Amino acid sequence: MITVLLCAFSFVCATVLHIFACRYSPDKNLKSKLFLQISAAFLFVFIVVSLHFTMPLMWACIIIYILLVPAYLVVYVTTELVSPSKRILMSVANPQGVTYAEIIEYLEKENLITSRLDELVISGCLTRAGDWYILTSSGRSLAAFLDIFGKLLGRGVGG
Amino acid sequence: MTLNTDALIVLTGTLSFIIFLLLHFIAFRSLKAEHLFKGIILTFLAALGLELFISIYFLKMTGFLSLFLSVTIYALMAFFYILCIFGPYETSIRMRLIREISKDPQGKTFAEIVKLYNERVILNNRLQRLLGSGDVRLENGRYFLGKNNNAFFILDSLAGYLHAFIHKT
Repeated sequence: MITVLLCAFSFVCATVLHIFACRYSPDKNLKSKLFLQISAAFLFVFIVVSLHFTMPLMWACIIIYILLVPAYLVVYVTTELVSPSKRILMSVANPQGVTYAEIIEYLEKENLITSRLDELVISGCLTRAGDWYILTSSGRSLAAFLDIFGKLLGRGVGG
Repeated sequence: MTLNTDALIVLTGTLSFIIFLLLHFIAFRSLKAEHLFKGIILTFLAALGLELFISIYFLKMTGFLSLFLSVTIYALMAFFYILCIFGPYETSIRMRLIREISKDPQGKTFAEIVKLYNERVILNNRLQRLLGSGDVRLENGRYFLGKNNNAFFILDSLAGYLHAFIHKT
């Protein structure tokens, strides 16, 4: 039980430190990398303490700790995003209802395609040459993964 | 507790996740987009039930802590898979754009991309899911909010509180 409590305490400390850094940092950008560094430091401390005192259930706790990191990051990043489905729900929240054309008009104002293409260029998955968008090597790897996953899943292209 | 218990917890948690993936890959081949959410919940619960059955009846893992840790490992693996792999594959605009562009080795122009994938396709895909889940209803050619307390708005309120807490806004 003590190992589980120590693991939980280490993760809570990493989270609190990260939230503290976000709250008091002058820039309000996402700080996902910072959380990875903080959580890695606390994981290291947890492993050292667990090994030193030969604590039981160490591996189970290490795996839970590692899995909690992306879980927290997903929740953290989600606080910054507005999904297209939520935009659609916001547009139909009108008590008189909305037509298909009105939702399309609303979505077109959001520039869903161009903003995503720009983000893919910034993240290094795409390069832009004039009006052309070309996959980079990391973009091609991602496309290959999506292709294999799609075949395994046997579903349509999604999106 | 011995090292064996530790290994057993990790193994049962991982095994449950593998069972979840197998069920998911089998069941989702023919599942319609409007039933995705229910499908995920049912597959998750089915694998969870199997895990508890195997752990208690075959592996004699009766300690609450062992079961709790094993279920936690499984739940976190499933959470990671659903939100970081399956979710983006099924709903992400970026992932769809990558797949569309990858069909041509020399790339695609903006006009070619929007001819294949545009706001209409995005809206049709989402309306299919939202109408199926009852979050949106269609009456006389107009779309209305199906439920006031749908998952999106609940999660959005939570995200809003979290955002305010994290960013001190």
